[in-house]
Amino acid sequence: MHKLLEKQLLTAKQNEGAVNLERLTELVSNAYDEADRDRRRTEHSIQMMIEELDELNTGLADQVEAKTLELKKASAHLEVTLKNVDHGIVLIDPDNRVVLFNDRYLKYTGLTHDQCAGQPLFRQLVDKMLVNGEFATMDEQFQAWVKAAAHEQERFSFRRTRPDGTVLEIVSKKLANGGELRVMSDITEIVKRQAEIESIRHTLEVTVENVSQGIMMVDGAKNIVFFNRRAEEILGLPSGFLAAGQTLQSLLEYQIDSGEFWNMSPEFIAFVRKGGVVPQPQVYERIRPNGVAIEVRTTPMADGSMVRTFTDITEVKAREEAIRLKEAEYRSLYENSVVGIYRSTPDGQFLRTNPAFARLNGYSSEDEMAEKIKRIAHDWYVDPRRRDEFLEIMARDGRVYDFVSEVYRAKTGERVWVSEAAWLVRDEQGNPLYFEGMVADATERKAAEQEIAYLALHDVLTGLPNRTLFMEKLRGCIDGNRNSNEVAVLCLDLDRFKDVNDTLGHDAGDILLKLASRRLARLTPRNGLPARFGGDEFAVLCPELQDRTSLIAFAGRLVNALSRPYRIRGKMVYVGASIGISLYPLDGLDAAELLKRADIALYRAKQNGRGTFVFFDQAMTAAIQVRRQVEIELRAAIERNEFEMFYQPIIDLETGEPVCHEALIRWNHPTRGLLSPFHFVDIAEETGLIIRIGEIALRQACQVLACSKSEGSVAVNLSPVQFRNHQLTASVVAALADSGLPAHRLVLEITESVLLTDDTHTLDILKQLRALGVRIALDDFGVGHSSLSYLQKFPFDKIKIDKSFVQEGESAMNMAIRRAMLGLGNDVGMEVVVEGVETAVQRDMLIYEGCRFAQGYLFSKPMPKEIAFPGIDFSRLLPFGKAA
Amino acid sequence: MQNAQFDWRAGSGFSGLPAHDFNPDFVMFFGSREALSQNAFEALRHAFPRTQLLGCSTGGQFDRTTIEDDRLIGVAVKFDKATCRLASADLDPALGSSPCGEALGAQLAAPDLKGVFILSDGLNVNGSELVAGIIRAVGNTAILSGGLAGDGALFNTTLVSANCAPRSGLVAAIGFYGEGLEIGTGSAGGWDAFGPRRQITKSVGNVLHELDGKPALDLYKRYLSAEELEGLPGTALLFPLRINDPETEGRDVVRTVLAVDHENGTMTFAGDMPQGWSAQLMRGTFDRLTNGASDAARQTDTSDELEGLTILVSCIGRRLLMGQRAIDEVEAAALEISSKHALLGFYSYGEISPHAESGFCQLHNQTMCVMSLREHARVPVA
Repeated sequence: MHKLLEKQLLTAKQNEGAVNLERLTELVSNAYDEADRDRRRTEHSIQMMIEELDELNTGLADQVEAKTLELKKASAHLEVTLKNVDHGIVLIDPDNRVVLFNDRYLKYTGLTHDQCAGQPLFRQLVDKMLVNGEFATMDEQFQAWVKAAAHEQERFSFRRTRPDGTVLEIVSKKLANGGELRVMSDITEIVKRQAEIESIRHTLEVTVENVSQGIMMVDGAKNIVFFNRRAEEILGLPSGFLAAGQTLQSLLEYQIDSGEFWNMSPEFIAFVRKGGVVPQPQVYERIRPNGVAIEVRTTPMADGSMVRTFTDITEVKAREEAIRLKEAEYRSLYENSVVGIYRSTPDGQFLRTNPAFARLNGYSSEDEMAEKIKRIAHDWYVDPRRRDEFLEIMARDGRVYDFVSEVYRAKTGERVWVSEAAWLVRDEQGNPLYFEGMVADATERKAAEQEIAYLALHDVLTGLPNRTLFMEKLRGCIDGNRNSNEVAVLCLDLDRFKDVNDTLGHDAGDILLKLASRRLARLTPRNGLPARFGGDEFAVLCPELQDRTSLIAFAGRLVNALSRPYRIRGKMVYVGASIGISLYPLDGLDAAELLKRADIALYRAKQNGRGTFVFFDQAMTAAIQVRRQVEIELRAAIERNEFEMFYQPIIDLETGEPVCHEALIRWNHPTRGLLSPFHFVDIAEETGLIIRIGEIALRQACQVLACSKSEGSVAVNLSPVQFRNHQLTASVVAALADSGLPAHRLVLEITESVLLTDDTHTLDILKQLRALGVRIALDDFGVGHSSLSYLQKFPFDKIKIDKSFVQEGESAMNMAIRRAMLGLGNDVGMEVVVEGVETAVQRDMLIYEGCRFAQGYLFSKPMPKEIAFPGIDFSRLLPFGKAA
Repeated sequence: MQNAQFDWRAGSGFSGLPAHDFNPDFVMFFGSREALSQNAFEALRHAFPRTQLLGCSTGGQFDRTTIEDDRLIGVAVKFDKATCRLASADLDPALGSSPCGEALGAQLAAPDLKGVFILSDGLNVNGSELVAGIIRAVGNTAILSGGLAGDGALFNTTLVSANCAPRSGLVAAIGFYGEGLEIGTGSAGGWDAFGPRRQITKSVGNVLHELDGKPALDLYKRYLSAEELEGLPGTALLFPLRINDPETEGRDVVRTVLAVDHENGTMTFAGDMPQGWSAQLMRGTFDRLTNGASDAARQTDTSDELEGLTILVSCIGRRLLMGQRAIDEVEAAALEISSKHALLGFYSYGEISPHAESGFCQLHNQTMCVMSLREHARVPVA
């Protein structure tokens, strides 16, 4: 019984053991169904498998057909390919027979189609090629090899050069069936190209080894695959370090450990430790520990590799730094310059300006100025034409220098003068780009120039035209006036002006000059020209003279006007005026000549007693020459010690003995003999030589007296000019000290002109001298302006009454005056000396009148020292002239 | 090791319960969903108050001779030396099955863990992921075996119990520890592949879209008769697919169809259908399947005459195919197992076992998987 049925029966058995038929039937029926289904599934599966197989079969047949077609196509393709392929191909069967070849094979071997067709033995073809000289270019060893080498290797290749130079590469492959396939390629071009590449490579290698940059190439895996020697040098790596095979990381680690990145930030070091590569090109600079600055430049390549270059930029950096410093220096100069600096366009706009330029123009900033000054021509220059002139000079010279213009200052419209120095800047093609320039404030200079121009033609003190302008005008008159009209040149000076200057001082003299010039100007006719030449020299130009009469009247008016008293600081000052006149064309045809002759006439006027005017005549010329000659000789005389003192005694009338000697100077002229002061004192005073001469007199007199046995004193005359010399007191002290003469034995005689005004300077000097112990005498009392008030100003030790009060007869007035003066002297305790006593009668009269001291020819003429002081050896005395 | 096999019926209660003083280490039980929904667990807990209880609903449970649907069968096991630990975890559909497996594995992992027997919810789980999760936690030295709970041929609700009233969405796993413990496994199907091999060209997880670039369901339907077409998806159990990774030979697994989507032409399987793998249709015959079961049992080799426990997990597909002849494979397998072994088993919605050739634990379909557990009385002193 089927096991299943057993189980079914068991299942269908009821509790009492009876079989439940219904249940059993159901089980059995189900079992059948299940079996049926199992069978159907199996059948269905088998059916499906059959269908699948059919499908597979159908597919196979189709595939065979398709493959066959493919093969046919492939065969055709092969044929075409063989024909057209760039390689020579030969197929050799295991029996060494050639079964396939193409046209290219024939071309590369020099064999013919007939030789290769019909399956000849391959080695026979090689023999034929040998015979044909196909291998002639190859050596014998090769020829032997090519004959033998046919089938020995699995795969081999060789190159050979054909007789026509073609280079072939032949690759032989042993086939599985024992046959051989040979493929020939024309590699002539490749070989050529390889040679070229080799050449380029060599060039590159040499280049890379010789460039100044270090070069390093790192592959995608960060291995250093290439470097040049310079890279090692610049990085300071041990020789052979890179050659030992480094990675980028090992190099960087070495550099970190060797302190290469000594001055880099920790972030940088960390970055480097992590490989130090970013995918972008990067450039950075660093300073090596040895001070060398290097630039490291990394260029990543598309394949992940990178090229890193190292450039020694120490010099470049130094240059850059120098340039930077220079630039800063220039910038500082530019910013801080007190000179304005600008750049402007040719069409007249400021491009750039420095702070000084803005300041100069009164703006607080460059921007503010740019806003205000749009057009240089109109907004800056006062005269817009200056811009045109500027451009004109630029166009001509390419630069302007000291281009002085008046310009507007900001806002106020104030005008200032500026001086520009500018130049044209061109581009590389030479086209004008812009102007650059420097501007300095020239306002003061301009004013100074105008002042100078004015001063050049005017007298500072009086404001009158000066000699230059005068001469200019004079020449103008002469040149422009060739008709019959005469031109007059008047030369003026003020009589006794020197006295005023000497006694009242320069300030008073200046005031006098101003007052005088005012009078002069007022009187000068409208077409005339008054001028001051200096000192008290004035001139007047009178052009187009109508007649002599009016000229004479004019001159007379001038003399009168200038001679009127002047009030200076509350005091009345009296001077006169002398005028010399020359006429054009009568006295000369050129300006200098006319002036010279007017001057000669002036001299004559002064000689004539001053206070007058004189017309020039030819006779005057000689006198002037003489005067000039004297001056020259005076100078020489001082040098040659030609002065000698003569001594005239002053007698005490009670004893008849000399109490004093007046020292009188004589000029021992080499040709004219002994000359009295009359001949040279005026000139000496005018030229100032009197100071030297006065010193000589002082020294000689003191020394002579000190040497003499005389117990008396010596009197020396002083010129007013000597008082203007501040050295006077010192000179007196020196003369006394050098000679050893006691001060009280020296008497200094002055004339009243010294005291013309109560000049405190003169009085001070007198007081100083008195303090030394020196005695002071008032000479020539009674002449000139003599006034008793002088005696009040200074307490003189001695008065010398002028000889005119003795010699000019016994007029009642003379006697009264003489007696009054003698009485005055006795009353105030001053010695009174009467000069010019020539007769015994005169002496007796004086004695009668109570005069104690007298001087004159009656007693003695002036005598040389040897006679005045007999028995004294004066030879030890120094030459006086040199002593000063 | 001592075993006591018993059964329970809703009407009559237990029969064959061990003596009162028999204190088993664990009790494993299988029953229909209906039985488990009744008061079976309460009865068990009452009978074994201090014992680890695990069990699940099935597609039919059996002992050496009988396949029954109404009766609950169980076994109480007491180890001499070995120990066991019961773990459970709920499946979270949002997370997938892998975390659940890892959670279970974490509860069980130990250096002397010899094997794990898993009972999982049969419908809400991806068995492959579950197994992978457990392996990740316990390592690949422990042997994994077990099965997915069933619900007859209904595929509605499956229940699992681990010291708790059986419920859906639960996974229970019991770990076995001890040097003397010996675990044998076997796995075989007996199915014949037929037709051409095809490639899985499109799939998402366990949903198969295309084979050789064609809608999978269309291809599949060609092999079904009109009657079988009507019975889809149940009839699909009769034609599982064998899949394998072309890169790795000898790792063939069988996949059962769980559901079909006529509209989209897709099929849902009881395990992953990796894209790129090859797939081949299978068919079974009574005899071949019976031989398969016999092979699987033989692989466990229980010939050492030790007392032990053998649990058979067979696929519901096999039962549906074989109908009344299903008892043939049970008997054939039982013949290969030592009579000293307590033997029980159930029809599952998926089997877990080391692969017969690779030894790699994974989820199977349409197989008979066997695990035998025995303990050497004396553990040799090392």
